[in-house]
Amino acid sequence: MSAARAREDSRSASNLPDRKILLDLFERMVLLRRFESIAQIACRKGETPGFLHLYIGEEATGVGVCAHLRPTDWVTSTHRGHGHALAKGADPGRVMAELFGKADGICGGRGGTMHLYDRSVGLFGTNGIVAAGIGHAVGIGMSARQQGRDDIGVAFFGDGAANHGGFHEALNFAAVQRAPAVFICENNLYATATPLKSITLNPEIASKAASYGMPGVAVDGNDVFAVWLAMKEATERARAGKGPTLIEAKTYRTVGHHEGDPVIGSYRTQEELDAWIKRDPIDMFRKKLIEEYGIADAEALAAIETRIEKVVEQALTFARNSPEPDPSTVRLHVFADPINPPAALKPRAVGETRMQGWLEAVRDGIAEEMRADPAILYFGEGTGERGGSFAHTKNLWQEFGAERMVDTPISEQGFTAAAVGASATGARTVSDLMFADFAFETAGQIFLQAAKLRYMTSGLMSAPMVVRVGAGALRSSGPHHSGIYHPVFAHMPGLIVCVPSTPADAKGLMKTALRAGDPVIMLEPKALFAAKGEVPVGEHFVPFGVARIARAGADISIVAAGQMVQRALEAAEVLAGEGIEAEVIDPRTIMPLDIDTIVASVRKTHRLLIVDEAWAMCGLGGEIAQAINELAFDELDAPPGRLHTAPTSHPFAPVLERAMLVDTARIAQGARDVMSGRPPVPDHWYTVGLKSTAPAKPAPAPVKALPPAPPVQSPAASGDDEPVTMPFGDLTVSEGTVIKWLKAVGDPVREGELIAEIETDKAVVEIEAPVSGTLAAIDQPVGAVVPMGGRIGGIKK
Amino acid sequence: MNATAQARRLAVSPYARRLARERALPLETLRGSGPDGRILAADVLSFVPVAAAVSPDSDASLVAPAIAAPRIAAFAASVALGALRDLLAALESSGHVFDVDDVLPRAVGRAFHETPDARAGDNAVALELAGGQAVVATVPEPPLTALRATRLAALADSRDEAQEPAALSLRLLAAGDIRPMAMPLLPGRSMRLAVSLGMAGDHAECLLTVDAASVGEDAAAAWLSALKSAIEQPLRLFV
Repeated sequence: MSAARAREDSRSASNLPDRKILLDLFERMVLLRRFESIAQIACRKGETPGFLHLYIGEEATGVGVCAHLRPTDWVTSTHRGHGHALAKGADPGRVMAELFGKADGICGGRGGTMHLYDRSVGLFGTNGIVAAGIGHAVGIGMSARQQGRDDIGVAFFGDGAANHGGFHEALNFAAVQRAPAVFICENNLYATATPLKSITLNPEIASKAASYGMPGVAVDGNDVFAVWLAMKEATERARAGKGPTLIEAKTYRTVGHHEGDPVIGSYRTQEELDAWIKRDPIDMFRKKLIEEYGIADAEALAAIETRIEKVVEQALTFARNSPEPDPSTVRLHVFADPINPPAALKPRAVGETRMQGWLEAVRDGIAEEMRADPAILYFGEGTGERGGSFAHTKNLWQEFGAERMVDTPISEQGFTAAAVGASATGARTVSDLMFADFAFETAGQIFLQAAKLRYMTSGLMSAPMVVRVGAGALRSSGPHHSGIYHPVFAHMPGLIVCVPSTPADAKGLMKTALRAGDPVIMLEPKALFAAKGEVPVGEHFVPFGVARIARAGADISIVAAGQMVQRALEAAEVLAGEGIEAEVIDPRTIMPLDIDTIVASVRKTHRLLIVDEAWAMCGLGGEIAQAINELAFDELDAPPGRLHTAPTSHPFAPVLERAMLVDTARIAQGARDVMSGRPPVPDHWYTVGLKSTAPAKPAPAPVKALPPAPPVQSPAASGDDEPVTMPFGDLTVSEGTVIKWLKAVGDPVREGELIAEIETDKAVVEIEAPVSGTLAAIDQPVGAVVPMGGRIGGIKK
Repeated sequence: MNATAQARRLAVSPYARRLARERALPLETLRGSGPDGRILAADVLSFVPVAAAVSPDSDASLVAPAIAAPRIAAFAASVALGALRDLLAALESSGHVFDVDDVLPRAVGRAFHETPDARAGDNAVALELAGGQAVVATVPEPPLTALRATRLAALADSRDEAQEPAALSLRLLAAGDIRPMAMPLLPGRSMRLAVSLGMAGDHAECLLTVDAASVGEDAAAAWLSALKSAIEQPLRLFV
């Protein structure tokens, strides 16, 4: 609908809504204006900490949009969001108190101007990050739909955000999901001080909707009734399940970017400003109400303004009189308290277990939780009907359908933002990013939105979502598919970080994560996807922050997580042969970190070695070693040691990758070094290269190329025949079962002829004859489980 | 071993330090088996008090009082007496009879002369004798014959000059093969030197206790080092 059309409609008296609606629009705009004017003065006086981005001049957009929304609808907002908060119904006194950083603020003083949240009125938050809230609105709408409500998510954002990836990813995902959402672009012509026309060759933002197959309309953002009409249609579409709409409201802020910034600055002209002031939304609407619609006279409107003046004065007084937050509460609301859901804390009866593969165990855990909680949504790339790149969601789509097992575009930022929005509004979400490396594509949503939500809102909101990724090095996955990064995530207050090492722990932690109150980063080591282990049948929860003693010992404590646990256990066996009994501690969750178990172990062994797959710099080794200094210094009989993956990117060549990773031999040697009082000395500080006088080391002798050893020894080759082997294939598959031999011993075979079939977790692999000849041996009969690279038979030429 | 080395910080693992503290074991008596002599828990746990004495052949060792008063520092040294004994024997054959006891006050004076930092006021030395103290000056340096005469006279008349000012009191222990571990300071004396002469007569175990408030640790260690050097190269004491 065009702005012109909207104006035409409005002239027709029969189309006019109820008089009360129109007067409410006026009153609400006056409230926004007067509130901001008072806030502006308070800011100038220094009464508000920080600076404010005022909404003055743009009131018609926020008011026209929010007039259609219920308290159970949610709006996401921007750095210029006081107006959205008030238009959505937040209490002016408590909003003002929040701007003052006071205890009675709507976020208890933790959020402030750019982080205003109010669950009671459906205010998802003003936001300090451009475009961050757009995807939240998508998830909010999907969450409501999944919970059987027709509530919608509405995103406000500026023209600057329309050039941000978050905009593209969110709108595309919303459109393809027909998400009950409306996108409101407040085009005030400048991204801070950058003119829209200078940063895009298509400044008609509404037209961008066509890219995503959704309707896009541009309206006069200073005409509250035009906005109201456009939003009316968009809201109805969204509620009716017809999908999202993009509304571009063309408007203008008649103040500087933030309070204290010049009104015109170096980027606007006085003429332009004057022209827009003449189109002031409140003045225009006052005139219309009196002259055009004839539903109020000047005195009636003045009475409204007088009443609102009192409201904002009371708000100011309320804010001024509100106490400061209590500094002793600063540590509250980082995580749920208690951090573990009740199910995870129940004493566990040791019941039946069965041998399961990692992926199957975790799939079972997810399926159990999805059956128990119909509000769990699973977002991922190829995790729907395809069953996931690692077969890690196999059969879930078949059971739970496309509505819940949502196949996403490759838009990590977009669907993770949706996961934040959905999980904060009654659903629970898994955002499956496939590889840990890809998490950085949506780092802002994880670190700045999900992790901070509970704290910013003083505990009133949270994002109980699971970021699920395959993590860590595995057989030449290369620089972009090998990272694990748990110290990076654990650095951020508000994130729970899991690195399980057994199928049982992986299932138990996933089930706990799907009942927890906070965002959980679930880093499943890809190297363990093919691992098997005893897994408790049925309800099985592993609590956060409780380490597992993988092996008891009295001489040295080795802390290792993820795929390093098995390496450490192997090293412990080697050491046991030398008379050194190592205790291996698997923390299972990096945050919270069960430091008490590590301390208790060091009190017993008096020596400590930390082995970690992530890098050393600012890493787990230093963290735990320093914690022992602080908590158990008098227990140390040797300096703690640490072994980390070499400080390089992950190289592709197997020989280089092996050189980079910590292996069993290095752990055993590291333990011996700690035992001897001389722990391994790392060199990850890279200070040597800064010293020009550092002597050049003689070039090392060229490394002899070693053929990659198959992970499991092949059965002894029989004679000089050509071996038929189970081929190396998918990274995460370690073995397969022979299901058919199409040839018998003695049969002639041609090169390339199909001779056997092997079924893996993901596919049936057809085995072809490597050469022509006679099938001389069948080493692995039907039903045998064969490791990758393993020999299954032989052909005599 | 020079004074710096004597004053060097002991390397002790935190756990070993705790175990020693709990057992009231002076760390300085322990031999470290870790890197660069770091004392480890095993060294404390395997410690047998009798075996604590450092071999008499070692030319110096550090000993501290087991129960240290807050203001006390103590330093020990094994001093070889072979050269001094030979020299005294040679003098005796030429008719000049002196005991080690007579030479010690002079060596003390020389040590004060060489390490003025260790001087806490008066340079006089109080000889601790059976009945009390006999104070002898070290500046100007009295002849050895005068020192011997003073000592013998004091032994004879049991005079006590405990109230006379003196920087250091000198105590000779005749117990033989006993290493003094802790000796209290005497009133008015900021230093005390205890010397235990070995049975074989080839070395002496010296313990220097100082009031840490009056004498710096480095200075005290240097003083003891100077004393040891003076006794082990005794020719200079007689010129």
